[in-house]
Amino acid sequence: MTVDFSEVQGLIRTYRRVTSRHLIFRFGTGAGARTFLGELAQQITMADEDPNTAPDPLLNVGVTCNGLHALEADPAMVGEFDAVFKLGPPAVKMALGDVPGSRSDPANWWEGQFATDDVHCVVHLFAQSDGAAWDAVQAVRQLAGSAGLTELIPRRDGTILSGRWFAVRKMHFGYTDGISQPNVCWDDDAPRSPEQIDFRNFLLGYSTDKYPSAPARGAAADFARNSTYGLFRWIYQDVAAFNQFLAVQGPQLFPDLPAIEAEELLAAKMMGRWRDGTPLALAPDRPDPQLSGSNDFDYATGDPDGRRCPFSAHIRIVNPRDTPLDPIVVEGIPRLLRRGMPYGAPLQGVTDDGADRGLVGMFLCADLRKVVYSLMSWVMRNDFSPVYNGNRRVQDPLFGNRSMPGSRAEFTIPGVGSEATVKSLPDFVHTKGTAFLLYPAKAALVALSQGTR
Amino acid sequence: MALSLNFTAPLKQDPESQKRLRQLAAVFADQVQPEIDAALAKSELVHFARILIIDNKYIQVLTEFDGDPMAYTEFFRTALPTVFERIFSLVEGAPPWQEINNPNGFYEYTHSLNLKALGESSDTGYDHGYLFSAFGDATVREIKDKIAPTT
Ligand code: HEM
Repeated sequence: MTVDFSEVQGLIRTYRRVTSRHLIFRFGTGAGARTFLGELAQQITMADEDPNTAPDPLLNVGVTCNGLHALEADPAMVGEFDAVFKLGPPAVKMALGDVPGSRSDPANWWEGQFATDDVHCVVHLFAQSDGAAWDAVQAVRQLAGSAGLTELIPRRDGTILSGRWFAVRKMHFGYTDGISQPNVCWDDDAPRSPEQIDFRNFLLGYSTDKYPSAPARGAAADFARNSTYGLFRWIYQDVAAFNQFLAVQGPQLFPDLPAIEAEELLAAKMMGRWRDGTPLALAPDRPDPQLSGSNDFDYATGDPDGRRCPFSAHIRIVNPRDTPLDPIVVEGIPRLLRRGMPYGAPLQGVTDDGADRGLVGMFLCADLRKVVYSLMSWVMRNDFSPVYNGNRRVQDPLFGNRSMPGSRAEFTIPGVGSEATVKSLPDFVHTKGTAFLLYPAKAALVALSQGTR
Repeated sequence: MALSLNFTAPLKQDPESQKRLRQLAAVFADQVQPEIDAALAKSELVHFARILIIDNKYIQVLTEFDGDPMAYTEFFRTALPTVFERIFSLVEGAPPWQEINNPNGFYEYTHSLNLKALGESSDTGYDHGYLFSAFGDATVREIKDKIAPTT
């Protein structure tokens, strides 16, 4: 069995465009919604196109569960989709860490401009220039307007979400992204190396006991085949607070180092990679240009006590690799295809300029329930492995919501003295919006737009 | 703070189902309880658990749990498949076991059976209603660590 890439939306591949636009819509009539999707379907970038040579824009579309209903898809069929996809993000806010009353409260999402329930579809556009992106936005808006869709503008100042790489693969906070991506085997018949991951982790319609996904079988699974789920997340990053934290805490934790090196070491301890990408597990003392792109490392043998890479470092939580898991974690470690892009201008220094900046996060998978209840929840509270015994309330030092009940805003760094704990971690991020999307396969787009499902 | 899980489901009233309900009650202590005991102990997240039958009309599975009880439905499905199959076969309106004997179906069905208690949770965010705890938000693991005899 080989995956037919002409059926799959191209987002499963890495795009190297410098900028993105994300248009959020509410459908009007069912007929209008189907017309829109049908017209748009012809422009969608599929995975059989080479994203490096395809002309601007690369275009993909995700539909929410409410969107499927607005398209008048068969309710019984929609009923067989992933339970968390159907519940929608506000219903699982605690698993996501979006605690009511905190800045990530779903009640505050989309800058209060609209309710998450109103989101029916998101059109992603990727382009090489602002001009090309702008043209694409206008074309989609025209199509949407003529089909009776309402564009939902997520900012009070009237601007839309747009990503931009401000330096090669650099995120706000200064880290390098896009190093670790699952090595996916798309062909059952091809020889497979042990580190390769089955495509059923990402594509729907191939559910097995080992790689379950919903819909699991029958006509609904036939419809969903080659589609994928997406967790679309608008995450604000407070760069000034982060820089301030490094400047104060770095020299306190590592007094023997020059201040700038102390800051870099603390930043690396929080991520698990130096800012150039070098994994701490391989190079605990200083970044190594030879290793900055390396993804070839584990934790259990080389770093069982976290003295190189702390147990709570971001990458050690979201992919603990061979770290032992609690018996209750029977589903193992979910894998994601990460397709996000930073947004907003970079900021230097410790004074905030009030501008919006962060990550337009796009995480693709075949099992939203599993991802939300494991990875997202583990970021908020590290209690999935015996390595946290002694303090299972700690969080991801970068991305945890400090208001999460039962958590402690602390970061333990083994190996500094005997062990150093940073108390009172501030919030460095908050969530500004979330949508659970289905990226329908080509056949599913046809069926939806023709109203045959 | 522990959270409560209050699964509550109506029981089938036909004579055959009621007979199987009586059989379940009769063998529960000897056959079912040890299996549940082992799974809950292994989970290290469950403070207390019990199963109740009300007037042969409703069945309740009540537990107090650390963290979000819906996070680990998959552990309980795979650890106690025969127990859940047996219980759900007695429940009015339950989908056939083969339909919910998968991660998504089991999560969804158990989620739909969970009742909210009266009142408000003292933790922000969870909508599970009131639950008194004399131990603040101490977890099973923390309590066990504290009461373990020191050697
Ligand atoms: C503003 C928010 C975030 C930023 C800036 C960020 C940044 C990064 C960076 C710089 C890396 C290391 C680069 C690499 O290994 O390729 C990374 C890895 C990763 N992140 Fe995030 N991240 C964010 C949020 C999240 C969230 C919410 C999740 C999902 C729960 C997540 C999942 C992952 C995964 C799975 C990896 C790969 C880890 C590995 O395989 O070793 N990230 N992230």
